[in-house]
Amino acid sequence: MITEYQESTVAFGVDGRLSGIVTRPITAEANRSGIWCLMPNSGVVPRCGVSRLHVRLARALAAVGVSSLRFDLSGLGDSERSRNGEDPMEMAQRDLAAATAFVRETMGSRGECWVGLCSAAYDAIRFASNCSSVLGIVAIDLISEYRNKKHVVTHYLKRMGSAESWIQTARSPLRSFGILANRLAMRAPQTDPESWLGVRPPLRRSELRISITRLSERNVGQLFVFSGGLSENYNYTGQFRDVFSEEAQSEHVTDVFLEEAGHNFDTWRDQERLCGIIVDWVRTRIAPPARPVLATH
Amino acid sequence: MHGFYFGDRHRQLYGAYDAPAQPSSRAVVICQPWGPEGLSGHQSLRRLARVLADNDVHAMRFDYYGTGDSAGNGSDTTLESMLADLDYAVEECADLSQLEQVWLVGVRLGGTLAAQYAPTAGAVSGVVLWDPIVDGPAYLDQLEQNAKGQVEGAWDVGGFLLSPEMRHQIADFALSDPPERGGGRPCHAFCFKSSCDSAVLERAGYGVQVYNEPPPWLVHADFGSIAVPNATISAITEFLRDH
Repeated sequence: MITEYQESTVAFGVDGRLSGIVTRPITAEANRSGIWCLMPNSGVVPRCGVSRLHVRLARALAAVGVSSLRFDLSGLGDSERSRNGEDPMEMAQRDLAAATAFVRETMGSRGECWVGLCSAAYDAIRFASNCSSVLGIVAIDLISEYRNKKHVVTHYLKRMGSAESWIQTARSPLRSFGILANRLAMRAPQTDPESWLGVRPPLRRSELRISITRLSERNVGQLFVFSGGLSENYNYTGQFRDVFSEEAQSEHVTDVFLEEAGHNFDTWRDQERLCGIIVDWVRTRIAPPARPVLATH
Repeated sequence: MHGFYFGDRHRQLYGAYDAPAQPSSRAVVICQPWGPEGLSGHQSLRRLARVLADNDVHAMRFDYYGTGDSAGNGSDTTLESMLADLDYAVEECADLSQLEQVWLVGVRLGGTLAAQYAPTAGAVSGVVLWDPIVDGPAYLDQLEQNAKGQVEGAWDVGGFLLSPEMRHQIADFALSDPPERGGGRPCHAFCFKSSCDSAVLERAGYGVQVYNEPPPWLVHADFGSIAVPNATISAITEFLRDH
């Protein structure tokens, strides 16, 4: 079978406690951009991503000449838990710094682009704000405060126009009872004492505003992708530009709304569309193909 | 934990090996569930591997071809390819542990595989099933209910593709069919109380232990939190240590 990538396991960070997979284009010629995409896990999903989203994306990136590292944060997936009880946010930031050091020192990275969904997106934005080698950020369903008046109006208009929501309203007392009964019957088992369960707070609107400005000043490309799964917070095309009217004017900021997709992009076609958007953006904005060298006489 | 690739160069499989701190005479290959259940069960099986190693048992997990960090695409995975991968994994685990025989711990569809594989494999000394799929057609119905459309004939089950070939293979499977009785080896099953078909398992020659702690594949997955059935992991570890 012919593949356009090669994959290998890596261990890095203090005592090699962080575990990851490197995906590289098969030929050195294709690999010449020197740009690396870094993908930490989202929530508690292992580094392969929900329904292998990160695997698919890593291979698609390799096909256009971009290498990547997908890895598990401390205590998640196959990475070991940190020995000392650090603050969850500090621990995540330290893990991201370790991944950056690894690709720069061991893999020869000349610049990084972070790709993160949900919690990984706000980890990446926080990190990128303070790391000069970051060239780009892909923030998928970044949780923040996006609500505005138009969101509220859109929310109710969509509900009124949806037969499903009327049925749900009529069934809600029964449904609430059903959920409660189900929860009592299926009480969740104990959590894993060895796992890192630290919750990092999402970005506040003011924090995100400052981050976008700071990143744009450093010419860092920023792609914000939103799904229909965030509808309580984000529900129409262009909401990002309405809420961040000044910051989103920057040529470095791009926003996309994929209304039909769920928060986890857990259908094959939603993943295909998402991967296509990210790969195109990385290829044109972050790692454009090298210009052919003209022969001189 | 040591992560590595093994198997055929063009079909490399991801493995994760937890070594015991001291020399040990027991090794276990963990056969993971398929699809969304594999994802929700990942942390629990990682925990099982670590607890086994802490109890002086070599433990190896692996991803089937087309799943997790292994090569390939989901639509290429079949029960047949998963059995071939298990064969590689058993060989790899025997090499790593320097032992001639290993135990299998099969979880959900991984249990189905372990039950099918064990009777014909000389290198398997015993089988433990954890919530195994005992009725292929019923499992397939469950997958169909969760499928969100089709992609080139394959069902899209939460983003995991289930090929027509694999569907046929699952539909043809029932644990009670001979020769899945483990070929005379010790066979034991751990089953969650509300989904346990102990009669079928007992008829198939398995000792059955019912447990009360909901396993991760039956608890609605919220990817912001994590739940691991520690008591069941301890019970499985105790069984493997003592047999």
